[in-house]
Amino acid sequence: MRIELAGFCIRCGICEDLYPDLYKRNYQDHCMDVLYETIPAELQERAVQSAADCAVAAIKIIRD
Amino acid sequence: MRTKTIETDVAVMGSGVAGMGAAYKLANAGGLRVEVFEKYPAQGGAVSNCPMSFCSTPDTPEAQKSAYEVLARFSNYTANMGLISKMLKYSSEFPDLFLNQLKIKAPMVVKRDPADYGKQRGYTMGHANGLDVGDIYFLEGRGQGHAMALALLRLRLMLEKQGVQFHFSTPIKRILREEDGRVTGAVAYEKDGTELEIRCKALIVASGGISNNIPMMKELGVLHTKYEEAYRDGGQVLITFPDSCQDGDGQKAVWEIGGKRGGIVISADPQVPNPGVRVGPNTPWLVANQTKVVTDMPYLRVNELGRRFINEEMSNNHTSISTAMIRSNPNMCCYLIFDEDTAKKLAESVEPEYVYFIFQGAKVENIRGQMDEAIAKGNQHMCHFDTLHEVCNYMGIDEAGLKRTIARYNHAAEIGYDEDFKTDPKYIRPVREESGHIYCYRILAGGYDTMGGLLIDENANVLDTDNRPIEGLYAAGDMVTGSVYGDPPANAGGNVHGSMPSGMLAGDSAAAYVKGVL
Repeated sequence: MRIELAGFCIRCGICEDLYPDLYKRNYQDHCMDVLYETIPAELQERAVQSAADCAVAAIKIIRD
Repeated sequence: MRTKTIETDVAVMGSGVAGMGAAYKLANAGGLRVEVFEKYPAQGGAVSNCPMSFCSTPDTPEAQKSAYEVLARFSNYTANMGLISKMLKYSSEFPDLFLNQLKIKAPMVVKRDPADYGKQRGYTMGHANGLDVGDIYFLEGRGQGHAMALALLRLRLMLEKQGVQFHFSTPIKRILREEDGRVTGAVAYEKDGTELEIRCKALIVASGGISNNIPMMKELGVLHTKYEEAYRDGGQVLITFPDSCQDGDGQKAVWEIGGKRGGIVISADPQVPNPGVRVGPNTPWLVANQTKVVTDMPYLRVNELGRRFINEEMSNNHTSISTAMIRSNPNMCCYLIFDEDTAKKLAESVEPEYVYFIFQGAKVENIRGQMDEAIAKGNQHMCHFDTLHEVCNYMGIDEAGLKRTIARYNHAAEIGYDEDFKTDPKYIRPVREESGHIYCYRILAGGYDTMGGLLIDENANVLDTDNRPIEGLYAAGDMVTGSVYGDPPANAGGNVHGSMPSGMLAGDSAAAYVKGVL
C-alpha cells in the first residue's frame, strides 16, 4: 500500500495531528510528507482512516 | 535573474476567502482575464483552518438595517459606513454560493429575528458579537476538517473551469505604481526565482494577516509579551495553519507605494498554549483535553498584577476577552483561577451557556489529571498547588495584588453583589485555600490571524495617506478589517462574514473599473 497526496492538499495538518506516525509537515517545501514509501502492514488500517479524515479528500490510498 | 512578463486584466494577490471572493466576482463579470497569485502552494488562507459556519445577513430591509446599525455602533463609527452597507448585502449571497453552487451541506441553519442582532453574547452563534448580525449556517465538512476548506477548494475548481488562472508558490512582493498614481502591475517571484512582472489594469491585494511573521508583529507592537514562543507554529495561540506564509507581504507592498497604515491586532480567540492542549500542532478543534471548556467558564480572571480586568461573564466574548482586554494586560495574558470546590462543581456540571459548540462537554472530570498530563508534555501555562503563594510564584502573578483581589471577590460572593464589575453573582465562585487546592491557567490573547494594516473605501479601493483612493488598487480580507469593524480592528476574526464580502466587493469594483463603467 502507498499513499499519494494530491496537489490540492491544503496543508491543514489534520493528518499529522491524528496520524503522526504517517505524516509530517515539511517546512522547507511547504507541504506534508508521507513518512513511508510503502505503508507497513501494521499502519495500513490507519492510513485508510487518514484518507477518510482528510478535509479535502487529498489523501489517496494506492493498493499494490 | 530570469524575468518573465504576464499581461492580465486583474491580478489577485492571495487565494484565501477574500481573494477567492474577488476571483468569483471577476469571473462572473465576464470577458476579463483574471490571475490569482498565491505565496502558498495551495489555496485557502486563514479561513480554511477554522470556520464550520458562516453568518449571512438576509437581503431584507429589516435585516440589513439592523445589521448595519449593529456594526456601525460596534466599530464606534470608525469603520467605513458605506463599506459596511455593501458588505452586508454581499453576505446575503452566501447561501446561494455555498449551498447551491458549491454543494456544501448545512445540516443546521439558525434563522434569527433582525431585532435580536447584536444581542448574542459569546460563542453560541459561531462567532462573537460583531458578527452576530444574521442567520447562521452550520456546515458539514469532510472527515475531520471544517467545511470552509472544502468549499474553497470547490470554488477554486469552479473558477478554474471559468478560466481563472492560479499561480501557486508565486508571491507578489512589489506593486507597480505609475507617476500619475495608477497601479498598473506588480512583481512576483516563481518558485525557481524567476522574476515575474505582472502587467494588469487592476490589482486586488488579499494576502491576509501577518501571523507567520513574528519579527514584524513585534516591530509593529502587535506582539508584546514574554510568551512569544507560544505564538510560533504549534503553540496554537495563533491558530492559522502552521507555515501559513502569511508574512505581511501585502501590507508592506501597499505601504511602500503610499498606502495608509491601519492598526494591526491579534484577533479573536484567547488560548492556553500547547503542548498537551490540542492533539497536535495544527488543528485547533482537535483537542487533547477539556482546557478549552474550563477556560471559557465565567470565573475569576486576573492579570499579572493580580487584578481583575473584566466582568467575567464576558469570558467567552472573544472580542473583548482577547482582542481588546487581554491584549492590554501585561504580557498580553490573563489567569483563570479557581479552587477545589469549583473543580468539584465542574465535575458535576459546567455552565452550559459558556460551552462552545465545537468543544462540547457537560462536565469536566479530573481537572487535576488533565492538567498533569499536559504539564508532563511540557506545558508551562497551567498549574495546581495547595496555596495561592505557590500558584503566584509559579505563574508570576503578584501575590499581594491577587490576595487583595480575592478578598474583594470572595466578599462579593458573600454579599451577592460585585461592586467592581457587576458580574452576575451566580458566576462568582469564591477562591479559598481552605478548599484544599488552587488551579490556574495562563490564557494568552490569541486568534485565527492578525487583522488590519490597510484601509479601504466603500468600493474596496485602497486609501492613501490622504484618505484618497489609489486608482487601480483594491484590498480585501483580514488586512482591511479596520475599515469593516473599526480601526484598530476589534472583532473575533475577519472570517467569512467580513472577508469574503470585501473580496466580492473588490472583485466587482475592479471589474467595473477595468471595463470603464465606474
